[in-house]
Amino acid sequence: MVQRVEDHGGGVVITRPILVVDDDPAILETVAEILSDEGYTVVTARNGAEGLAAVERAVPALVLLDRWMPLLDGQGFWQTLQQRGVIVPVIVMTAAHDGELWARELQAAGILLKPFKLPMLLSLVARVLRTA
Amino acid sequence: MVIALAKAAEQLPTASTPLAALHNAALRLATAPNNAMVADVLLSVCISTLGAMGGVFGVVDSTGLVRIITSAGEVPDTVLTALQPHTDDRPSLLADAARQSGLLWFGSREEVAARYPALGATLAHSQLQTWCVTPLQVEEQAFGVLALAFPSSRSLTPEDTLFLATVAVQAATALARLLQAQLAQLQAARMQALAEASQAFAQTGHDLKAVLSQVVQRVSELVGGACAIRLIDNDGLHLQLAALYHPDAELAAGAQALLEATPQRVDEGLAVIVLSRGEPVLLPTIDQAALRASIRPVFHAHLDRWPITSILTAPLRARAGTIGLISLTRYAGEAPYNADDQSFLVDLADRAALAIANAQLYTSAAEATLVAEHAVAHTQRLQTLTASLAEALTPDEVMAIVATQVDQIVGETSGLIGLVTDDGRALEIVQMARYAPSDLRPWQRIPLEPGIAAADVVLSGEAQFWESRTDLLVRYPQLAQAAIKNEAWAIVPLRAEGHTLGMLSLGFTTPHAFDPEERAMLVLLAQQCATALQRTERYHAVEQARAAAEQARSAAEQAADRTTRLYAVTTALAEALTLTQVADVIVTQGIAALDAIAGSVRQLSPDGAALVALHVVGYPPDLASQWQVIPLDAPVPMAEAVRLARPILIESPAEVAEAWPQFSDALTALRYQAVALLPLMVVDRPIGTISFGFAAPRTFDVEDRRFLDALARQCAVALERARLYAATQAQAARLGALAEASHIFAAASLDLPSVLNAIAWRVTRAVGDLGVVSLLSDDRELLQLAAIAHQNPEAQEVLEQLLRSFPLGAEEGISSRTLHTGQAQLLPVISPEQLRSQVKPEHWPYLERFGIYSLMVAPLRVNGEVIGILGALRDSPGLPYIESDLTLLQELADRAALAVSNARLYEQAQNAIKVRDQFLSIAAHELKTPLTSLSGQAQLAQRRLSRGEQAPQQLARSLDIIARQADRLDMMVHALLDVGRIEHGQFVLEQQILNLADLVARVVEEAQPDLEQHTMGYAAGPETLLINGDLLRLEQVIQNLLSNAVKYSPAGGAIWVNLERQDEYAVITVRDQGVGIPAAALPHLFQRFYRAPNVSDHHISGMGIGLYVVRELVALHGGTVDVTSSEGAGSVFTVRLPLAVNVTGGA
Repeated sequence: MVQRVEDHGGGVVITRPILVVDDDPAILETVAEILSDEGYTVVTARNGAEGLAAVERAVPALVLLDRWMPLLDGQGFWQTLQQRGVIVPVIVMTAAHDGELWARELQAAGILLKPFKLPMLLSLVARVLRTA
Repeated sequence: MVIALAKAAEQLPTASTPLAALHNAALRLATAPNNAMVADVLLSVCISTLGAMGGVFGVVDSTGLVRIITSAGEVPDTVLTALQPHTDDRPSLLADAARQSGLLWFGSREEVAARYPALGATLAHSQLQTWCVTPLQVEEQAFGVLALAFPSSRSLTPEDTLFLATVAVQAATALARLLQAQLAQLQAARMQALAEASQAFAQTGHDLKAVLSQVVQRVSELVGGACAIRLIDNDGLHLQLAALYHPDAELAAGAQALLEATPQRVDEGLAVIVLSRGEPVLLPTIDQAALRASIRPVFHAHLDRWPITSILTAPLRARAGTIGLISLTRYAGEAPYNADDQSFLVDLADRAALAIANAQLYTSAAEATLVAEHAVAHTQRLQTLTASLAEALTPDEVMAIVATQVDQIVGETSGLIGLVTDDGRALEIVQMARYAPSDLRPWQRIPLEPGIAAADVVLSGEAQFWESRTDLLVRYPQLAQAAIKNEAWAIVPLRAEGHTLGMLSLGFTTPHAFDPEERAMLVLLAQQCATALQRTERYHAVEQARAAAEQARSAAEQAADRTTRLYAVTTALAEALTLTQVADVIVTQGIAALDAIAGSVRQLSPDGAALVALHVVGYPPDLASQWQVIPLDAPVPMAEAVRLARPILIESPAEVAEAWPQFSDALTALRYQAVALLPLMVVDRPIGTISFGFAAPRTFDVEDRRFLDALARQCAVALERARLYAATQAQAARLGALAEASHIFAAASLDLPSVLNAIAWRVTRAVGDLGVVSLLSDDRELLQLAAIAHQNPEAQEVLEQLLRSFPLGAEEGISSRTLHTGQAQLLPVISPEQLRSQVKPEHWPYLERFGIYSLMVAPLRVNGEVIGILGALRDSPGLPYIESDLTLLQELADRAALAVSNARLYEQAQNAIKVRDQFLSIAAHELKTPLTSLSGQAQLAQRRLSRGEQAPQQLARSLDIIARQADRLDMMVHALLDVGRIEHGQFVLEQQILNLADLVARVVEEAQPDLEQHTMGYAAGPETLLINGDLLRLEQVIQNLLSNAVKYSPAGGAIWVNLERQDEYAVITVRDQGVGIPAAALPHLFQRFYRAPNVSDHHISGMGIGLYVVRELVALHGGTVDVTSSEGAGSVFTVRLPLAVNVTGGA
């Protein structure tokens, strides 16, 4: 179980993890480290299939989703979530020139165009978690 | 992408340590947008890290000179000036450094002065003491030079040297990348320019001058320099300057005068290479002395003012030949032409040539149309003449008509008509025009004796033409003394019914060339005139007979009746214009005039081998079809009448049985009791036959025979006239067709279906009745319908459906011969039996409904290869195709082929652009992936540092990721550079004898640590396999195949690597259990930028250049690489490399 107990001064809060799905191990590690440094609980998956397995274990608070991945791509991952009725905000991460189109298609909560700025990543994650 | 990374670098803390400076520099160099930025980064980082006083940064340009981009620190202007590049023999510090493999070191300014006196002199006044000059090289190619100067004597520590070497390689890589990008941009701009030029040329129209000036101006603007076009003369031996352009009008005028005064033969100088081999010639530099020697001294002043330094020439190729050449000239101060310019010019020349050839074609077609219109006008006059003559009732009227018509046919002449006197001993002048009576007094009565020109014509019955006075005097030298006022003469006999009645003589006041058409017209005119005279005489005879007719009333009435009937035929014939109308008049009027029950008219085929029915009345359909085409050697009386050139009159069926048993059977079936068969003769030449059948036996008396003879003559003349009319119309239509085809082709050269459709319609209109274009399928098995046109929409629809439902195989039918041999075919006359044996049975419904009577097939040839056919067919008898129809068809076929070829070229160009765009999009995506983690880790480290949370092992991890991602980027950039080098043939191997087993084992071993879901096994045979190869490049080949095996097995699995000897080759196989490759993708797998379609299903990234580089590298080693695979079942890549010879490899 990848949940963590944190003390935010006001008391004990149980947070749901952030799921990061990307087939590039270096990106996966980098994003996970950045978010961990800020105190988020992070779960990683190297493709859509691993991502679905992680959702089965614990529904995340937010998914950072790459588009093109082997075995099951971002689109397939998202469609499966829809079919299963899992409602979770998604931020798409992509280097593709038509990334924004894809983000609209998924009704994503946000888009990160690779390579992205760290403050941009953090502010976007914070905003999405706040409104979720 | 670039902006993000550059900003990341800016956010790094100030580089205080060499390592930090190095990282800072690496990031900023990898993203520098131009050479100036590279220079700034490099100078600032080197000066601050090494404590230099100043520095200079230079870039190696395309001519090998080192040009200073910028300087930093305290470098006096005098020193900078001394460092500037020069082309003389003095040593140059920066140029020397660029040729070194390591850095140049000068401990003091005296050391500098010893080697570079000029530079040394400027240093004496500065504080600069020690100099360190480093070449910026990648793979031994220098892209720039960095010079650093220090205020005091100092030496470099090993760390300094390492720092300098590292930063130099990074800067060189950045310069190489920028150069590559610049080249790619240039290439793209040229492709765009090419497409625009092509369109502009095509839209300029048909004015040759406008097209030429458009071409030279555009080519000059696109490639640079003075552009000239020289076209091959009509004689095929000389080149004529057709157009020239240079933006400097004064230079252009001088160059034009020079080229016009230096005529060139096609077998001289550069032209012989360009024209005979069809290849471009590039002279990057010109030997000025040799150039001067080849040009007349008067133009040396031109060369002094504008010295020619570089020349580029390419052939203009169109319609399977070379029509001329296009050349470019650059002058002193301009860069020389290079290979890129050459290939660009060749591409431009090919498009320009097409436009020029079209304009030439259009010009000549327009001229030909004029000629044809002239011919039609002639025929129409003849037509008018015939009509007028048919109405003339007296000899005087006939004469008057002839006199007025002659002027219109041959222009203003003096003319006279002489008739043979009743006693047959002399010619009497009965009509004259533009002769003074005094001129003619000696000739009023010309004795019919040999040796007198007019008498000779009447005696021989043959027309004579003397085109000049000399011509006449050769034949009649005695006339040299006579006072003759004309310079050319035509004397034509007036012949009718086998008799010469007199002659028509025309005189011209200037020498006059009689073309064959004019001669034929005059002969025909005389014949018409004679026939008319004869007829009027006979008419008068009848008139007289009627006046005195009491005792011979019945005979006279009969004669009058016949003559009236003949007159009716003549009048009707005079009104009939076309072959069909004439044939109809002959049969229907002939039947009426003779009280016959059946009639037919047949025409001799152009080759004289058969009689073809034009019109038949009163025959049962099966017999009409059987006798549609009658071979001239057939044992039937129709053929015999023509063979013997005399009438055959059968008065009862009994006469037939013995002579023509075959015909006798038919006669019984027809129930004819008597038959008249008459040959149609024009000037003793048979052109066909007419026949009439009678319900009762009859006797043909002398009057009957005469009547039939006269009828046959009238019919022959009318038929011949109609044929001539049709031929002239056809000629005009042919020329019109060519002109219009050129027009359509030029206007819509890229819209293939409409061009082909237009050509099919041109065939239909020009030669009738149906035009069809069919193209071979890609596998060359089937002939596929591309366009079809028929005046009759119903026939078109039936044949179109048949051809689409049952396409013709390449080996089937009449067209297969043309497809095989590339030769056009002409089948002027085809019998129904012949057709059925050669036409696919599925297509018979068309034959049964519409019939085919004449057929032509022409090949569509592109670069010597037959790609399809253009066919034409007639579905009515009477006008078989002739040779000139076939020539027209082939001309149209050549245009159709050119259109197909053009459209295909355009499609290829479009595809190339598409592939390039896809590649750019993929490459951008691929480059962004490592950049994302590289930039992310840099920002992460920065954030941690600023928060003071940075643990050393975390930093180490970040740097490790940054370094790996930088390596990934580096590999991609190298891969891209490799593609560039291969494209430009700049790949050089460093070969040595090496043990392949060791190499493969090592690469497999090195791959092991990165395997997560895969296993990799390696097996090698017992032999030591030595090959002569480049260690690094072969390592690259094997690494590439191994990483592909891993990459394309996303679900993991086993990978086997095997090495063994097969004959004189070492064979490496790499086998995986991955996604495999679809069969359709296999032939393209090693093409540049190609990616199999199933990789996107699996979302496996890549730029489509790895296997291309592998294939090229293996080929450079004299080896091969191939692949066997099927989708979903893994792949096996096999590399075969030749073993080293003369090296003993022990077992």
